[in-house]
Amino acid sequence: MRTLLRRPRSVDWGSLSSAVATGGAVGGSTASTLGAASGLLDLTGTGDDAWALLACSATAGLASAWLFSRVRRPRRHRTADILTGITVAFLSMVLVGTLLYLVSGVFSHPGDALFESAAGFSTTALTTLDADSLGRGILFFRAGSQWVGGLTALLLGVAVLPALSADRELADRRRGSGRRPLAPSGGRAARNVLQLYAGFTLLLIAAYLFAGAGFVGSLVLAASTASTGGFVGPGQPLADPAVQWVAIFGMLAAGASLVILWRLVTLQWKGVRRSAELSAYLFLLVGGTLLLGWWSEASGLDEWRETLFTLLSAATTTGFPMEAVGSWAAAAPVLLLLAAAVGPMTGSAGGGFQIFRMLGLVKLARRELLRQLHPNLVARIRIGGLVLSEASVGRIVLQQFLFVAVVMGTTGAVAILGPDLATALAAGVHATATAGPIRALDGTLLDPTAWSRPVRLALVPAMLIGRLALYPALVALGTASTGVRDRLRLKRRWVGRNSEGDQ
Amino acid sequence: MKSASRRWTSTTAHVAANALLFVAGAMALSAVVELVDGQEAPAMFAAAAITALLGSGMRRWTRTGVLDRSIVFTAVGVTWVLVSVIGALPYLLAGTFVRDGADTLVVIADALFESVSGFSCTGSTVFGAHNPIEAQGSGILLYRQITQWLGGMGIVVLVVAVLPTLRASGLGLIDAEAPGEGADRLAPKVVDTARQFWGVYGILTIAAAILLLGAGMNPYDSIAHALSAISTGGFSTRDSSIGHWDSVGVELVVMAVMIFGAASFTLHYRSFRNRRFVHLNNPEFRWYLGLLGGWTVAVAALLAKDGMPWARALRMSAFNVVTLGTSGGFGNATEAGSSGDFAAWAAGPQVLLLLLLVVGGCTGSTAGGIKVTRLRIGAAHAYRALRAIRRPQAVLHVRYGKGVVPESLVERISGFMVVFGMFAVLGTLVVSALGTDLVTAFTGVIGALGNMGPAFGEAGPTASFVDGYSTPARLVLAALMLVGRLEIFPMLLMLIVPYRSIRRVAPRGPLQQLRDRRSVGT
Repeated sequence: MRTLLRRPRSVDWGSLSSAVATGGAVGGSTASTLGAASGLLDLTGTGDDAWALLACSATAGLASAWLFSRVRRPRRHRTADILTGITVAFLSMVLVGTLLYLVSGVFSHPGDALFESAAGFSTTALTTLDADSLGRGILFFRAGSQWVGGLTALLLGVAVLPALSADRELADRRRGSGRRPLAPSGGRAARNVLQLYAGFTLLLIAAYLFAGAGFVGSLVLAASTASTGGFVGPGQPLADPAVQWVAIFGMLAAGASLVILWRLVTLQWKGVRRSAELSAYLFLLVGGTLLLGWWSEASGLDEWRETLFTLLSAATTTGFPMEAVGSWAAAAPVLLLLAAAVGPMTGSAGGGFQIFRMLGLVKLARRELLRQLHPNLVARIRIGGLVLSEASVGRIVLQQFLFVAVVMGTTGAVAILGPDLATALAAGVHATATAGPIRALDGTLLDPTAWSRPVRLALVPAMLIGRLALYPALVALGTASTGVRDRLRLKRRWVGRNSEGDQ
Repeated sequence: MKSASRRWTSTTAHVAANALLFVAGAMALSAVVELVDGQEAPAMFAAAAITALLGSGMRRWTRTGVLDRSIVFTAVGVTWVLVSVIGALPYLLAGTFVRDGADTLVVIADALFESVSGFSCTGSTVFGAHNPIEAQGSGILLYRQITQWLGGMGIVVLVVAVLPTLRASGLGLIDAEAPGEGADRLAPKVVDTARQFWGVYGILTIAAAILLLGAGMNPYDSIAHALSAISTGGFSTRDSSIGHWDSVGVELVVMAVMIFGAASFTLHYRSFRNRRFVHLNNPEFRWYLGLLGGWTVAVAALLAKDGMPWARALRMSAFNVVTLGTSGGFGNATEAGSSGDFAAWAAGPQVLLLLLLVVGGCTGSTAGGIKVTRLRIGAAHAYRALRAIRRPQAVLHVRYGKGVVPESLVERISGFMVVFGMFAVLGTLVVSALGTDLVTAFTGVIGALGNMGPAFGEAGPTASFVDGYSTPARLVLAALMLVGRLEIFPMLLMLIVPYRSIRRVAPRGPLQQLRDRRSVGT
C-alpha cells in the first residue's frame, strides 16, 4: 500500500506533502469524474445544468490531473501521512462538490452548497433540496456523491486501515484451506471491495426497477441504499410497498459487513455462521423492531413493514425518511436515536459507533468487572473466536472517547446557535453517525431548511469526521497542527537568526 | 453477651447491622428535634426503635469473618441497600408522602426514593408544589439532611471506624465505598484512617455551619445546610432551596463548602496536619478549579449573550456551575422561570451544564460523577492511542501530574468509563420507556448515576421528580443512584457473586450437560 503510489522520478517530495497533494488530486478527479457523468446524464433530460456541470468538472479534473502529475512520490509514506492524504482527498471531493452546486446554480450561497455536498459525500441524509425540483444531472450527482462516500468508507474500513496495521481484525485476511480472503493485501482488497460494491449496486438497481421505481428513481435509490446515504429521488418512491421491501433488504445487506457479504458470495458458510457481530446485528434489528412496534402500537402487516423500514433506516444509518407510524411513545425516538448511534456492522458502508466496537466495549466492561474480584486476572478479549489485540482494544476506547466528544461538541455548537436541547442532541448524534433524518421528541421529522445556516454548517465537521471513521480525520488534524507548529518554529528561528545577523 | 462460637459468621450482616445502628441514632436525634414543632415525633421514635432493634439483633447474632474481595463488595452493596430501605421508615410511618390520589405503592416508592436520594447524596426530591417541603416538621427535614451527611463520607467508613474486629481488611471496605480509585491510608491502622476521615468531615461541617450562620441563616437552617453542603448532597429545608435567601453571601458560603466537599479529604487532612494549604500542589484540584472557573465564564458569557445583565449572569452561572460541578444539587432559583432556573435557560448554557453532570468532583471526596482524575487519565489514554497511530514504534506512557500512570490503572479507568456509559445509555432507554421524554430521561439518568440532583427538562431545579418521572421510572433512578454512589462495580458484583457461588455448587442443568457431552464427543 505504501509503495502503491510511487512514481520513479528524480527528487522525491516529503511523505506528508506527497500524501496531501496526491489526496487532493485523487479527491478532485473523483468528484470531477462524477460531475462529468452527471452532466452527460443531464443531457438526456432537460439539460439545464449539463454545461455548467461539464465545464466545472473539466476544470477541476484538469487541475487535479496537473497536480497529480507534479507530485514526486517518495518510496514510503508514513501511516499518519496516508491518513492525512485520505482526509484531504475526502475534503477535496466535498469542495469540488460545493463548487459544482454553486456553478450549476442550485445554490447561491457557498454555505448551503457546502452543507449539501458534505451531506452527500458523508452519506448523511440531511438535505435542503427538494428532489422534485431537480434535474437529472443534479439528482445523479447527489446520489453519486453518496455512492462515492460509501465506497470511501468501505475502502477505509476494509482495505486501508487493516493494511496500515490498524483495525486488522476488521478485514478478512486469513488464508488457508482453499479460502479466498477479501483483503489479502491492500490492492487486492480495494479491487474486491469495488467489485462487490458495484455488483451490489447493480443488483439493487435491477430490484428497484423491477419494483417499479423508474430509471432515475432506481439509480438514485440504489446508490443511496448501497452507500447507506438516504437521499431519495423525485415523487416519493418509497411510499410504494414493493419499493419499500427492496429498500428493506437492501439496507439489511448494506448494513452487514463486507466481509460477511464476501463470504456469502464465495460460499464460506462457516465463517458467516460463526460471526458474533452478525448475530448481534440481527438480534439488535429484531429486538429493535419489536420494541419500536410495541412503542408505536403497530398492527397489521403494513404497519409492521413500515416499523421494520424505520428501524432499519436508523440502525443502518441510511436515513430514508418515514413519518411516524401510529402514536409514538416517548421511548420510540430515543430507541431510533440509539440505533443510529450504534449503527450497523463494522466493515459496512454505515456510520455510527458500529456493532463490533460495541461488542468490544461490552467485553472490556466484563473483563474489568472480573478484575475487581481477581485483580491479577490476565484475560484476552475475544469476539466470536477472534482475539483482539490490546492495541485494538485501545483504539476502540479511543473511538468511544472521540465519538462522545464529537457528539457533545456538535450538540454544544448547535445548541448555542439556536435549537432546543433535544434537537441539538439529536442533531449531534445523527451528524456524527452520518445518519438522518433528525426527529423531534414526538417522532416527527425535522426539516433542516428550518434551521439557520450557521446551525447547518455546525453539523458539517461532525459529518466529515464521522464518515472518516473518526480517528483518521483527527490524525490528519494532528498532523496539520504539528506541521503548522513546526513551520512557525522554523520561521521564528529564521527571523531570530536574521535579526541577530543585522545587529 | 452471646459467645462468639454461637454467632453466625457473616461480615455482610455484621457491617450492615452496625450501619443500621447509626441510622437509628440519626432517626432518634431527628425525632427529638421533631418534638419542637412537628407532630410526627412518635412515628419517628417508632422508626428509630424498629431500626435499632433490627440492627442490634443482627449485630448480636453475627460476627465478622474472613474478608475476601467478593465479601467486601457484597458487604458494601448489601449495607447500602439495607440502609436505604430501612431509612425510608420515618417517611412511611410519619406519612410524609401520603397525598390525595396516591396509592400505597406510590407512597412506599416515594419514601424509598427520598431515602436513597438522601443516603446517596443525590439530592433529587419528590417533594414539590403538591407536597411542600416547608409544610414538614423540623425533625423529618433534619433527618433528610442527616441521611446525606451519613452517606457523604460513607456509612461503611463510619462502621469501620468503630469496628476494630475488621482490622486491616477494613481498608478493602473503605476502598469499595470511597469515590475514585481507592482510598488513601492516612494512618497505619485502618480504624484510625476511618476516624481521621470522619474527624476532618466533622470539623468541616461545624465550620460550614458557623459560616452559614454568619451569612444570615438561622441556626437550624445553617446546621441543616452545612450537613448537606459538605456532603455535596443538595437537600434543603426550603422549597426554593438556596434561592429562598436570595443572598450573595449565603450563595458564596454554600459554593465554598461544596467545593471543599468535592475536593479530596486526604488533602484536607494533610492541610490540617501540616497547618498549610496543600490543595494547590495537587494536580487534580488545580484542574478542578480551572474547570469550574472556565465553565463559569463560558456559561456567564452565553447567559449575557441571551440578555441577562453581566453581574447577574456571573452570579447565576457561578452558583449553578459549582452546584452541578460538585454534584451538590442546590438551586438558587427564587421561583420557576427565574434567572437561576437553568431548566429555563437557552439550550447553549444547558449543554455546558449537561457536560458538567458527568464530571463530579475529585477522587476521595464526597462528590459523585466520573471524577476529574478519571476524565484526565481517560483523555490522556485516548490521546496516547491517537499518538500511537502517528508513531507506531514509540513506547508511550500515560502521564498525570509528574508521574506515569500504571497500565493497570489506565485499564481500570477505561473499564469504569465504559460501564458508566453503558449504564447511561441503557438507563435512558429504560426511563424513556417508562414514559419520559429524551432530555428529562437522559439528564435524570446521568444525574442519578453521578449523584447530582436536579435534571433538565421537566425535572429542573424548581420541579419535583414526581412531575418529571412516573413511579417506576423513579424507582429505576433510585437504583441508579445507589449504583452511582458505589461507583457501579460493588453493586454489580453484589449481584454477580451469589450467582457465581450458586453456579459453582448447583448441579449442572440439562442444557449444560448436553453441551458437555457434545464437547466430549468432539
